[in-house]
Amino acid sequence: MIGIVGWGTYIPRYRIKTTEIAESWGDDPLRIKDMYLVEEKAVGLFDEDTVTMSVEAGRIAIRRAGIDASHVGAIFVGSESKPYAVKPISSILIDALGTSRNVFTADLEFACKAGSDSIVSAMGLVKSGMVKYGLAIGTDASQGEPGEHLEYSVGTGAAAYVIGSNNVAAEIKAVHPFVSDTPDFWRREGYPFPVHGEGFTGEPAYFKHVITAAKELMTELGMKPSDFDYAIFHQPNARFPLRAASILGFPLDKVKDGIVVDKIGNTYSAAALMGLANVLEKAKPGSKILMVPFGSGAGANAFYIETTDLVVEKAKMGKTVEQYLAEKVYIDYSYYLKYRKLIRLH
Amino acid sequence: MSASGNPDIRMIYIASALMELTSEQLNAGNVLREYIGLKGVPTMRIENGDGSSSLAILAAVNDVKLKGGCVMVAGVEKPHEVTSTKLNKFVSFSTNSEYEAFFGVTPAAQAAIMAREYMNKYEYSYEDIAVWPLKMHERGAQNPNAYFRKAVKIKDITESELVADPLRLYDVAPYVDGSAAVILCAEPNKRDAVIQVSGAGMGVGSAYFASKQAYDALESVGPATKQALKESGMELEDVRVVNVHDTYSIIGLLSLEAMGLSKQGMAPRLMRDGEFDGGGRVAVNMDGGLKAMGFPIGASGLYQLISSAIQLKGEKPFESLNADTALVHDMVGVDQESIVIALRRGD
Amino acid sequence: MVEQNLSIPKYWRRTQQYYRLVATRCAKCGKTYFPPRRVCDCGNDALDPFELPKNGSLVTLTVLRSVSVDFEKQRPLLIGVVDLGGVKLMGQIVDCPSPTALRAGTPMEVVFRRVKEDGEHGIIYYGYKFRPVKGCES
Repeated sequence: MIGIVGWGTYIPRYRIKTTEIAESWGDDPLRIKDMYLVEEKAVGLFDEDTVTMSVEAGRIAIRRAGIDASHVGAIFVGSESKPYAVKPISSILIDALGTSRNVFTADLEFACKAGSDSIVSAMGLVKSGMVKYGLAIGTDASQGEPGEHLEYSVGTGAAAYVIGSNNVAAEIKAVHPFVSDTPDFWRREGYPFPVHGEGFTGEPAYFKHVITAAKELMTELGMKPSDFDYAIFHQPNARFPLRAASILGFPLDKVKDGIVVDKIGNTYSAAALMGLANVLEKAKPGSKILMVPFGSGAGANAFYIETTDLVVEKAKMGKTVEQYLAEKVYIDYSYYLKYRKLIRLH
Repeated sequence: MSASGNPDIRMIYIASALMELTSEQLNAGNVLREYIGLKGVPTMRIENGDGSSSLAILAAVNDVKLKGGCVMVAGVEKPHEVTSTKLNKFVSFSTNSEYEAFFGVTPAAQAAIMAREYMNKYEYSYEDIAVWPLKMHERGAQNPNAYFRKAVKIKDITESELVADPLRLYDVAPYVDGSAAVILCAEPNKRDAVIQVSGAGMGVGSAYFASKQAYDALESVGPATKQALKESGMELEDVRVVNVHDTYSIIGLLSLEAMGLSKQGMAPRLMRDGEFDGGGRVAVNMDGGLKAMGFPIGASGLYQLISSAIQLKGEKPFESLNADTALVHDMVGVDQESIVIALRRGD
Repeated sequence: MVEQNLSIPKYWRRTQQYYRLVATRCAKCGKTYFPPRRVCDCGNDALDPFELPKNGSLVTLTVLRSVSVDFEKQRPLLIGVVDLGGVKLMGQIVDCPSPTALRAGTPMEVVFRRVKEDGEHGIIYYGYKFRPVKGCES
């Protein structure tokens, strides 16, 4: 049995309401809220980035796994907002988490999908017997260009998963990929803000890949939406996963626990993984979960996950998403610009 | 040189804390030597943060005791060669740099924490602590050598900007460019009012601020004071003039307590009641201290030594002081090390 | 090459301390030191590495407004003393823009943060900071 042995998340304490941003730009606050269904988003302080958040989430994941950091044999970090274009996050984690030095490490990039690719990579090494435990992280602290619509949804966060075959809290029973060259959203080297094709990010990109990956996985497994207790989708805003659920035929109560974007914004590589953490922290043993992370460019991995008896006990062993959501300090737009270093500072 | 009757100088000790950082000059002693035309005189640089010049005096005293003759001790600092935030960084190097300055800790932050803890413990309000800058400005107003020669009102102090709460702008001795030099000789070479270095002592405190035994008292001052008094054959009661290293109001007050001139928790009260005024039990920082004289970092010990000598000599504006013994206190960073020098007026 | 103002070796040498608070503990009397020491107060010179706990309590703090150049764009800085299992450390307190509710004894946790960076092109220094466990109002 290969699956999730431990997990941990990190969400910064600061929040800004989308209505506050809308008012700064003269957009209709209610229309913006309705368009994205994002109430507020998490804002990392200027001293937070994908490295610092990976460390925090990683520490909790290892604690929940109940293992010593020295037993981690692989670290993969999926991110599209690395502080260094060249210099890995994963090697910093070696020393910050205190693992051994004999660890397979790499940073992965596939827009918002790379966090889930970290899980797949760790699974492969565990399954082949090359490592006992792998740490897989999805994290992003992307920038939304001020005044551009991405600013309403881009959040900050990290989710970390220890993958192994002992003391599994949730078995990963199957993963199914679906990928094509679809240029819906990108960020060129050296430019700070991602750019997108507006409406093109929807049907040909997000929905095509998420729905196809989910359907093909279910066909492969001979399962249907009613067989699952939870469905979790990538969440660039709250509208997209709700619509994906509706297309596939999942009722609202099966998707709501997997949606956190409305409270923290789109955490990109961490987005679906954050929803999964929230679900694991609420799920009963034996719950069947469909998770479909998506990354622009474009591709999706559809996961079939089933919780074990250990899930309830492990949920109590670390800080929960719900606890993070409750701990918040609201800031206004001027603090937001300062904290996210969007004012040009010399 | 001319004030001391142009004796033969054997050696130059030059003190500076930030010379290479602010002025990009190493080995400044030889540049000075050539400039003042002292042929063939070797020089030695002494650096121990803002305690540099007192340590240079100690080295010079030991030198003339051992070898006789006369040596020069010069102190120099040019903090205003760089911008204020750069200076804040350089000054923070006198903390345990890798573990304090690295994280943005500065001496001001440490002094602020001492002030806060002291005020909490002894139930003082900020106005009580503000007695220090109030008195220092009052004295500076009388001192032609002071940098600030203007008395201030308590309101000016309590409404000044916060530097590190509870410390405000008036609690911080202003960094000034400055230099000072003295000639030390084994024997008096002029008859008029020779000031004798009769003793010196040193003490150390925690190198890492957080490990201090207490945040409301200084560790390094007591041992330095005791040693200086002992060497000088004096009792604390014999001391008429004291100059303390008041880089921050709280450091001035706590130094008096650590020297034994006040019980712990009493210094602001005694100060307010005039115990440390001219004509009081002991005259403290009659020149206005570093607060009013300015704080030339690695030259500050010499500033205070010379100012103490002027006080002992009864020169203007200290004609009525009539004192013959003094203790001069200098400190490295916030309680990293202290140096106390005892002075006596010769007959 | 771009000018480098921050030292790489000076930082790299201390990552065990900056990242994980690796102190030293006396093998004889058990006294723990941070910053690490080579010789214990008891005279023993056999000390072992020892990772400090990541939770503790606030001792005292100040809001530093006049900061060093490297921290100019982070001001004001909250500088405090935090007790981690009997060892006291001085450092930055974050995630609390208005610290009026913080008291001696307020539960604190260690967080991993950026400390400073060498302009836009140079190295980033990471290290420990502290924050109130339950938020700013605790």
